[in-house]
Amino acid sequence: MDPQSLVVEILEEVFPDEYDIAGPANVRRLAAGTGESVRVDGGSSLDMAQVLNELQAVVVILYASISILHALTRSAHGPVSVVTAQATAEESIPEFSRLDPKKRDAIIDRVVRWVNEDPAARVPWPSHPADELQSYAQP
Amino acid sequence: MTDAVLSANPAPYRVNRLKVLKALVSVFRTQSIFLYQLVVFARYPSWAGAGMVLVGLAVNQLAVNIVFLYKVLRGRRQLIRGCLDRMRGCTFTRYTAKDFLESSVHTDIDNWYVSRSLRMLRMSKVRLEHLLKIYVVTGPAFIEQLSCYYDPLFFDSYIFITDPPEETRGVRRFFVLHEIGHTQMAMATHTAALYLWIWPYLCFVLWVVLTATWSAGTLAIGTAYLCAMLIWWEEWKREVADARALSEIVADCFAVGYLSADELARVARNQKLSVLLDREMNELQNTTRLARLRENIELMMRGDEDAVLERTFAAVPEPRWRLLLAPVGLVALVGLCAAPPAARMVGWMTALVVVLVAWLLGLFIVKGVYDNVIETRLSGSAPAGLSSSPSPALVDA
Repeated sequence: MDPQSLVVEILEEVFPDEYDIAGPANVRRLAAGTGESVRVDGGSSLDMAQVLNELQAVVVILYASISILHALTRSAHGPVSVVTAQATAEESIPEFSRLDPKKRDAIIDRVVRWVNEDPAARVPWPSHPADELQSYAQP
Repeated sequence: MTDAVLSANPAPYRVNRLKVLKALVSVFRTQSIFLYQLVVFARYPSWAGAGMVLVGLAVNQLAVNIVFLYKVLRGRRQLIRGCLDRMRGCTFTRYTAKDFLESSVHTDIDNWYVSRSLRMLRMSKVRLEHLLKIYVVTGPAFIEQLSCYYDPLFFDSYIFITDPPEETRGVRRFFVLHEIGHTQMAMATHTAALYLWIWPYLCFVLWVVLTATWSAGTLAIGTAYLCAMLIWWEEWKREVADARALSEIVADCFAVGYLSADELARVARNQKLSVLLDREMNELQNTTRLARLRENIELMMRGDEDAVLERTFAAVPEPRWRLLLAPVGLVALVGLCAAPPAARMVGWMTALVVVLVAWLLGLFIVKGVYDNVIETRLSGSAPAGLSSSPSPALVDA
């Protein structure tokens, strides 16, 4: 599974309310990080902008977590524990600590499973064009 | 709203005569010229008077339809400039309501909302699919809103969403049904007066200026009429402000009525629904709308569908008919003070009818051009100069 699919999967599992509102297509675009947002005028509209903004912030945190934990497994040359992963993520990504604790646990659990499965098969660094990621993206 | 529910409640429908009378008063508010000429004719019965009644009726109808058509054109323009222009580079895949709704729900909407309304206009062959076009937008951009454009005259509706039917479940299905609700309930939430602003009154003033022989009496009542127009203007602004919130509440009610028990539970569980605020509504309206939505979901989950409909439609304000009596009364007074109509006036005013017909036809042509642009943009072969985007493709699902 590529990092982008992992991000989509985590959003669906850990943020079901936001995922339901944004919809699979919008979530995939957010995870791909390539989309510009479009606001339309006139008519009647259901505004999802706030939910999309929240998801966008979460996507950045997720990519940062994946990047850092992936680097951790590579440098450790072996599986990484959930406790170590949690501590590393909280230390390295200030925004991560601000997430709901239950969601944090679920994210770490899922990312750790992913990085431990077959680290060699992983792409070196998940790519995401968001500027916020650049500070985390370098090992 | 299903047939089973309706047949289980066989309470006979009775016409409320008082409500019919109030509705007539409401209709006469937009038919001032016709009413005025009727009063003049009743006072001075003559062939010229009868001619002026007919011409007045024609002018009234043409003027109202011209205003409506301008609203339609404005809506079409908003659809092109405010929506399609901003979605350049996107692909539009066309679906029908059948693709998103279960067969029973589709049949119910088709029978109860579309066919019933249009049967009165001898258009019973028109189906939901003819009026409602649903487009799934795909492309590099992500869409911040699900949007819906509908017009008050031809009932043409365009809905733009982001997910195809197979990915539309739970809350997303609620959203799609909500947008369909806007298209089907527009007539209940947006009265004709709402679209017409104070144009009917202005048209009447113009008509009186053109046709009446002025006296101190007509001048005094005319001045009173102009003052009263300020009150009706304020009343119109209040109705517009209420209509937006009402329209959202009714569309929510429509959607909730067609969700399955599982979907209702999923919508009820969603904590993020409370952040879906409408930027065109104030805080109180948004809060009221969300409270009503939660209440309706709860009632539906308890199986109390009737209560959902009753409580929602109790919020639909009836026209303030006492306030509306004022224009009707003032028009009648101006008519009573008017001089008998001259035969040559019928000729002049018939010429006005011809001008208005030509004007209306011109607007129909412009509408045809707009419709063509919309269809072209949605079907992918945008004419040069209108869009520099890659051609979107229309796929009839």
